[in-house]
Amino acid sequence: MSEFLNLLAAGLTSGGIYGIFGACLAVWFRVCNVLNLAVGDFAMLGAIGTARLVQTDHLPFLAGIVVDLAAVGLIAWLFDRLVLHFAFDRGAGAHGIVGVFFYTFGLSLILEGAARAVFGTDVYGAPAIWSGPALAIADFHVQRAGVLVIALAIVSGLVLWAYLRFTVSGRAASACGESVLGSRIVGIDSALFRRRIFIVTAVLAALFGIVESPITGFTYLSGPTVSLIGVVAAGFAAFRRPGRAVVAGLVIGVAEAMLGGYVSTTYNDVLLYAALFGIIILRPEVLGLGAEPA
Amino acid sequence: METVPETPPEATGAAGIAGAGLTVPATAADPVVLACYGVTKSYGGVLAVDSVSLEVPRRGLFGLCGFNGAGKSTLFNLLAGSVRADSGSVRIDGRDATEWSAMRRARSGVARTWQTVRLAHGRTALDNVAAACLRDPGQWILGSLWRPQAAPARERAWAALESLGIGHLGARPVDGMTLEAQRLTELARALVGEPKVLLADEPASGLSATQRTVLAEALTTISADRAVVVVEHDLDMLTSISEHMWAMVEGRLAYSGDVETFRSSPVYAGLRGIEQG
Amino acid sequence: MSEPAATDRGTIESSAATGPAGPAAAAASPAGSPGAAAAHQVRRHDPVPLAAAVGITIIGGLVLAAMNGSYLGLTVTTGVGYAVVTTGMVLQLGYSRQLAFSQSVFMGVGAYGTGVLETKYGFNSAESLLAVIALATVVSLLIGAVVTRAPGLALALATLLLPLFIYQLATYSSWLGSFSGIDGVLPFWSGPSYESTLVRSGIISVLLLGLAAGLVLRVMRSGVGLQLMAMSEDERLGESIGVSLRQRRLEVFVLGSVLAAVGGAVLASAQGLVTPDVLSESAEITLLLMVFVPGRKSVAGAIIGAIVIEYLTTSTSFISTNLGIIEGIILLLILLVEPDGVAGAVARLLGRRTDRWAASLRSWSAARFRERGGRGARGGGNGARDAT
Repeated sequence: MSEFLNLLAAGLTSGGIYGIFGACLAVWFRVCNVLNLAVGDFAMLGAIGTARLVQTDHLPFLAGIVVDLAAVGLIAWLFDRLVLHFAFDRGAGAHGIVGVFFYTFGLSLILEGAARAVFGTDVYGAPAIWSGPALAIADFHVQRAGVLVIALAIVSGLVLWAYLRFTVSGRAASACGESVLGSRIVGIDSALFRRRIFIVTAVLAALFGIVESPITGFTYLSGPTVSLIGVVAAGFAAFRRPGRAVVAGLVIGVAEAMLGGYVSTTYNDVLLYAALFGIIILRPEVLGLGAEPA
Repeated sequence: METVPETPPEATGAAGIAGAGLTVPATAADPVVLACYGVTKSYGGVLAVDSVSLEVPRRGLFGLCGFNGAGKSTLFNLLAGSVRADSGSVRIDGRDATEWSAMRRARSGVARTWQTVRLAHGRTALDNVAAACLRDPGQWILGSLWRPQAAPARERAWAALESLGIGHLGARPVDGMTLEAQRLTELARALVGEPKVLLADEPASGLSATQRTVLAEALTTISADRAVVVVEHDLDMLTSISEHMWAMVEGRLAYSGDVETFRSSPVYAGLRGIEQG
Repeated sequence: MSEPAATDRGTIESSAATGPAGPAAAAASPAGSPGAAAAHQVRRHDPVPLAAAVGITIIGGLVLAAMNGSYLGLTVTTGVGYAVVTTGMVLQLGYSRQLAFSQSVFMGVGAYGTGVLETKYGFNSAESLLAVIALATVVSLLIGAVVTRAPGLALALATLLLPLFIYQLATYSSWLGSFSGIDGVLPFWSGPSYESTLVRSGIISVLLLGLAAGLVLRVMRSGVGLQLMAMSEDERLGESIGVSLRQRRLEVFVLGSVLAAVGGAVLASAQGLVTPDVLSESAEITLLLMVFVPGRKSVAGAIIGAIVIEYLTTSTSFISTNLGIIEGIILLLILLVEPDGVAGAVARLLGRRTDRWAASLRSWSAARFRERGGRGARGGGNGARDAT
């Protein structure tokens, strides 16, 4: 029983990351129909950047976090102004399904390359925000950082969901994604929403990187795999619903942990990815996509 | 207004047609090439097409009109197969085609043009038309190594473009063309495969009066060899070229009969009223 | 209104060619179609695919012979292996717009297949090549039958996941050599010395590339290619003109996958070994860049791009260390400025000039044909504007 609970805790923790990435992806896709494949890299920048600032440059912890998040926000803003603005506001460049993936894919390559050049290939872990030994409830052990991750994931998911559902701003944001022309006609500045949501989700991802990294260290390459699972989690939320994406991410995380604990520690990821692959192919309706005309 | 039965007639010969009370006059000694019986389609809660039955004879030009949102394009989609009906049946040449895909119906002789022109960008008019007239469209991909089919298809495409008067534009990319030329290219593409029935969805939309006259002549000429069903809002043009009219209101077939009677029908008055604003 | 009048019928009668006489033609000439069709003659025989195949083989062979088994020659041969894969990707991703990211997996099938068959079952290189082609065909048919039913975004996502777990499977499998991979893969064609072996094997590799390029060009320039063009633009459109979407999607997937496997076999033979890197996500990323930067619809671009990028990866350390950033920036530039890649930019810049060159080349070759009394000497264009 305690093994199950511990696995559950570990699964929820990694699932929290998948979930929040999924939520970030889902929200942004909903606004502008582009997938942010660089979300994991923003998390990486959050983790490694803060670790460097605090541990090497000896900034106070809070200052380090603030500076790092500000830098991530700035990078996101720059990317939007230099690339996305030209791609989507000026109508230049590739569109359609290529545009959905490749712009942020290019960003991801640049961020990873830059991180490698600046930070090297070491493993980094930012200092814990809530330090101390693992919490123990009966036989159930959970890392404090893990608790933070899960709590933040749930809170963020709820906030994003509420934003989209209940606020005027949120509904305007959704409108942008559904009809660019239509939303412009009624005076919604879709470019502004796209930029703001991009910055917010980038900073959110970076924050999660900071919170998560005491548990699992980050290298410059840590971004892509987690991004990909985040995409899958967002997919299970039809790329629209942040709340559902968080839930999907948590489920995937728990499945991964359970597979590792009860089936095979070496092959758990293989099985997980294979299962996800199967679900996407055989049941694309789960992604909110219908079957193709034959 | 005579009605077409909800279920398809047993026999498909002329006797069967007469017995089933076909609405179309004398020229329909020709058997029916395309028909639907009781087709219904709804989207969410909205009934786009409500139990429509009609029969298209083998030759002639037939008009389909109605307000926006009356279901005309949906009916075309149902006939052409790009959308499956919720209920009812579709027949092509007497065979039950209800479960057939759009591709199969296209290969069985149902061609269509679209409300908004659908052409492959960055390619010439010739290539756009040639894509539609391979002698063997189901050829497997490696078969193209020894039998590429491109040259004969392009020859047929030239002929089709010429016959519509736009042969001189064949080598031009479609992107730079005028709307009229694009519509004619689409028409050439629809005709090049020698279809049995052509469904033309608002082919005159966006064209000037002179261009419409040219188009009307083309459609009339085309209809000598096959069935042509035209959806149009321009009632003058439509009634001047059609042999028989259908009108849809809110998803239902509100009129089916000859043009003269149509002109004095309340549906016509209603449509004209809207037209004149 | 009843039957068409007799006079109308007169102008409607047309030659066997097709089609109704149109408004303009009806008034203009009773001869309608035949005379008009004669004005646009279509070249019956398309020389480009064969010329490309022969040209690549000869030029590539000469270049490799000149490099005489040096390290550069090895790099180029490796690049040729990637080029076979990217040629298939031009058809799959560029021309047919089937966004599947499974090429590195099939490259791995080819590489590992070659390695296993040769080192564990004693196949020679010709046998293993044929076996790998057969294996890739079967596997891609099975996977493709399922995978190509999924809508575009689902296909893209699912195939993004594919390298993840296939890579892990390969690294955990001791039969496949785990992280160290398989050693001792045979070269295509052995020679008396190390250098001559490299040159000879390189020539075989270039021959395979020529065949791949010829095949892809032939498909793209055929009637099937026209169908692919239409359906990749708009699937509803494709259906409405009688294209079987399911058939074409599957065929394109299989062809792209088999070519990827052949490329993998070339890689394995060139390097003499197979490692799991060939299956990884980063391999897929490299392939994507080799296709998108030079121009995803251009076979020539894909070939040159593969060789050049492979050379850059292994060359000066500044470029190879920072390759990620450079590739990312170039990719973004390409996407924004010229989605058809470098080849597209070149085509746009040269534009008229290449048309004139092509036209004068055609009339020159037509004149040569006529001189030799050959049949089929026709002038005029056929309206095709595919990039080579």
